[in-house]
Amino acid sequence: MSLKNQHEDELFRKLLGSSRMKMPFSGLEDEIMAEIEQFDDQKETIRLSYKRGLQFAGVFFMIGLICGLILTTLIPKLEFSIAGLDNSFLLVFYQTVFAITVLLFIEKLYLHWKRLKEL
Amino acid sequence: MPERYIKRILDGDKEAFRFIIGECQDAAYNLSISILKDDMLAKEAIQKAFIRAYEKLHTFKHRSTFKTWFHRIVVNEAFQLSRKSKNNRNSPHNLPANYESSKNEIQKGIDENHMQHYVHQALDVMKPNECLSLRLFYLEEHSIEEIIDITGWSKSNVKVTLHRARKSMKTILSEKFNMKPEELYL
Repeated sequence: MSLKNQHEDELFRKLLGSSRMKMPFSGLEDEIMAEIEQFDDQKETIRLSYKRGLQFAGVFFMIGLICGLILTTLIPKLEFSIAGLDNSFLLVFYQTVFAITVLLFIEKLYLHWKRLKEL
Repeated sequence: MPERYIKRILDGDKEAFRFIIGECQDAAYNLSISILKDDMLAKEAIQKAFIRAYEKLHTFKHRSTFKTWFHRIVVNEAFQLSRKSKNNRNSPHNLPANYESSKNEIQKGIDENHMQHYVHQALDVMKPNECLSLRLFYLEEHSIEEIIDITGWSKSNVKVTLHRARKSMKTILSEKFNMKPEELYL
């Protein structure tokens, strides 16, 4: 850096240093803290409602899982056919759909649970 | 240093955020007024910036200093507000008539208050980007790399803006107040 540039930098540093302004609003600190308080209250309300929703989702997921497992054990014991397809084929079809649904729901529940942790 | 309060806030001591507000509010005001040129809008931007900083404090990973991280939030909030309010009241180099000073007045002698006054007037009419770059570089003493981090501009853009800002300030001071920057700091 040349001497001229150094001098110029020093000069601008002094000029700008003298232009430093103080915050003209005296009550700003309290206003911000009040807003933060409000923000935290709202966040807590949202967190609680999210938690409740997630608990409900968990309960219904367990109910669905139990019902699905019962059906899985029941289908081979029942002798029936739909549209010419026997129950062994229907069991495979049902178990595939059931497994995919369970995995998708587990993933969704995990993502919501992670989000709840972040709140 | 605000860093020492961060852990306390993250541990649930909300009141520790008061210290951060106390330590950072003046710098935040200087930066937001550079962009918005309006006290009330600057206040709004600062409030939003502090709330955002509080909300996102857990994401602060100490990769930069807290000052740089917080100034980035302030600058973003101020630019967002500026876009919303379309506040183009002050075009550069367009001083109101009452800002004009007579040569005689200046020659009476420039004391500290005069100097502040002229520098403020010059900064007030400069383009927001130029004013911001001057304040970030000379007032807050951020490096070029930190300014890039705060503003999101490219390195060449920061350098060009700074160069233009210095030139603008010299022009404003010499044209409008009939003085050179050196004369202000005698």
